[in-house]
Amino acid sequence: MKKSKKKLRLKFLRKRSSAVPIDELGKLVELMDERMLTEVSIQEGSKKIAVKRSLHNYIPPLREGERGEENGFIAVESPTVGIFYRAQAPGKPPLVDVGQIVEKGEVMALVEALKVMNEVRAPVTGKVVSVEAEDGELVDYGRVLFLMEEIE
Amino acid sequence: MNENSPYKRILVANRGEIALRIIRTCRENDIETIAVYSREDSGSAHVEFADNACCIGEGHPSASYMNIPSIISAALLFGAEAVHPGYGFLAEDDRFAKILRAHGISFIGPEADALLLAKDKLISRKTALSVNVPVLPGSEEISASNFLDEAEKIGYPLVIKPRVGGAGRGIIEVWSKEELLSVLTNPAFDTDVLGSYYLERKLGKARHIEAQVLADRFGVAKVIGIRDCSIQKGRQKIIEESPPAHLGKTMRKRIEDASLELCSSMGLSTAVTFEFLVSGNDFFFIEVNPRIQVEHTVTEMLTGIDIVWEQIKLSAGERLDLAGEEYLYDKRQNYDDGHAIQARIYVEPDFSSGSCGLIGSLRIPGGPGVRFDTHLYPGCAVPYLYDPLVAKVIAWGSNRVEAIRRMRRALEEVRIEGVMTNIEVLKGIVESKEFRHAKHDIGFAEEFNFCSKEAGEQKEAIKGMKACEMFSV
Repeated sequence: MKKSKKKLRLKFLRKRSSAVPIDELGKLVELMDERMLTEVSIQEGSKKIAVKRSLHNYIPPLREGERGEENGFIAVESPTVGIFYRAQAPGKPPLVDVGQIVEKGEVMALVEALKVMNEVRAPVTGKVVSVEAEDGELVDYGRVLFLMEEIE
Repeated sequence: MNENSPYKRILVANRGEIALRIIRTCRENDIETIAVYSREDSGSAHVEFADNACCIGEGHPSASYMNIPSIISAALLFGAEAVHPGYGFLAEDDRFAKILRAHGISFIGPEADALLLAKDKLISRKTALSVNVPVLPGSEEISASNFLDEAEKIGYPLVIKPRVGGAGRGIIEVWSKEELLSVLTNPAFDTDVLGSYYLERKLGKARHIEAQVLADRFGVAKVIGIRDCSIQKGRQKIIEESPPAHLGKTMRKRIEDASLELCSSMGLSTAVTFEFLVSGNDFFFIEVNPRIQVEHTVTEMLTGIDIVWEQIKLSAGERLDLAGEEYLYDKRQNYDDGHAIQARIYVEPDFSSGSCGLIGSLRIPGGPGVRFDTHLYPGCAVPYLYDPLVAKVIAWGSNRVEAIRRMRRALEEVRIEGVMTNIEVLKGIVESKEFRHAKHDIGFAEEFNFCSKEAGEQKEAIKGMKACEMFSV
């Protein structure tokens, strides 16, 4: 499952900007996870890639089976196969962002399938911990879109 | 790059061995594939084999492999030009074909209108009658008011058959008027839906013979093989062979002519199979399957024709052209040269665990003249939600005796650990005197005594493994 999802994501990114050496970037991020680094850069001729992140908001990468409530997070999944939109319309601000508190049932995003906008609603009241898909990305059924922390 | 491929990208709306079969032909012809899968199937082989994969819903077929909006959304987003439905699921859904067409996507199969008429057995019977192809005595449209009268006209024993659907599902045998009345009053049988059934005379001793036809939109149609699928258990075919043993030249010619006549009158331009029952000097048309069939492999083995590839080209409106050098069919016009047999390996579901099991080690048969189509791999789960068919062993020999020997040898090689299978049953049939002498009919496998010693031992071994699993958790 993981592999195919990765395929989907990479495909779309590739289409958008062919200039990003996505494979190399991926390797760098993996390296950072592995060694718990906050900053890494490589230079090859005129090409330079630098990746930085703060460990303050760092969430360890989820592995298969750790998803869901055992890890303390609630996964918000795509209800169908379609295009993921974070805003109601182009140019509008995202419906929700990381750190925001959402009410149960609140619309968090849209997934467009066969010209129908399917609303993605919050399954619980809680804080948005991360956004797992990119705006405009092709998502399949069950794809994790957001992670939330439930508030009692 | 294959310049002749009519499509660049095909979505395969199926799972299991047939999804792999379709993906294989696509790969050979440089067609990119999109696999769709249910959440239950995320570890399934077809997801791995395809160039792209897209999860379309939960495990239950209605939520995934038969979820039309999800599949069409995936086809559009991935830019598929055609959808191959395989067999089962949406393969005979004319509505699906129609919606695809409305979105500018080809359905690899017949035209939606032709499919609508072909899938309804009551209508296809009428078509057969109109072109003088014999059918079994049967009813008109039935309702609660004319049910008994129609049954009396046909006589007993008879079968109550659903007008639409396959794999022998939903068929009820009735041996007398009393039995018919008890079926009608049985609360499990919904008399409101009587209109979706029809009645047909049950034949005692008969053989199931079918003709594989390829037809294009320009009126060219050819019979490329005749198969005998008489070895059935619970109305499921388990062993198929070609050419049928003891089928006279005259009878074969009559079946071929009837098939071509039916094909043109039904307006089917695709790979299509016409099924008949043969009893003595009589033959009766029973149904038409305008899709790829599980047993297409037998004909492929004999002719060298890639039926999936032909089907793809026909759906794009290409002309039927079997004159190519690559086809054995053309070289040996009569397919008496050689013999091919297929045995279907089914898993037996274990309802207590809600699964068929997890494949342990897997030994695949090989060697001369053997083909093995499966989606299993060591460590893969076998969900109970889907078709229990997990593998097909196909053996080719220069004659029937050689093919049978090869099949026996191939079945001895197969080892599938972790699930209960019917391999011992298949071995028993292949080795039986009746099958070797081709004395079998459609009732043979039902009556055959399968309780071999090995089957019992295998059962015990599985129980042992289950116990181990429970303790290791």
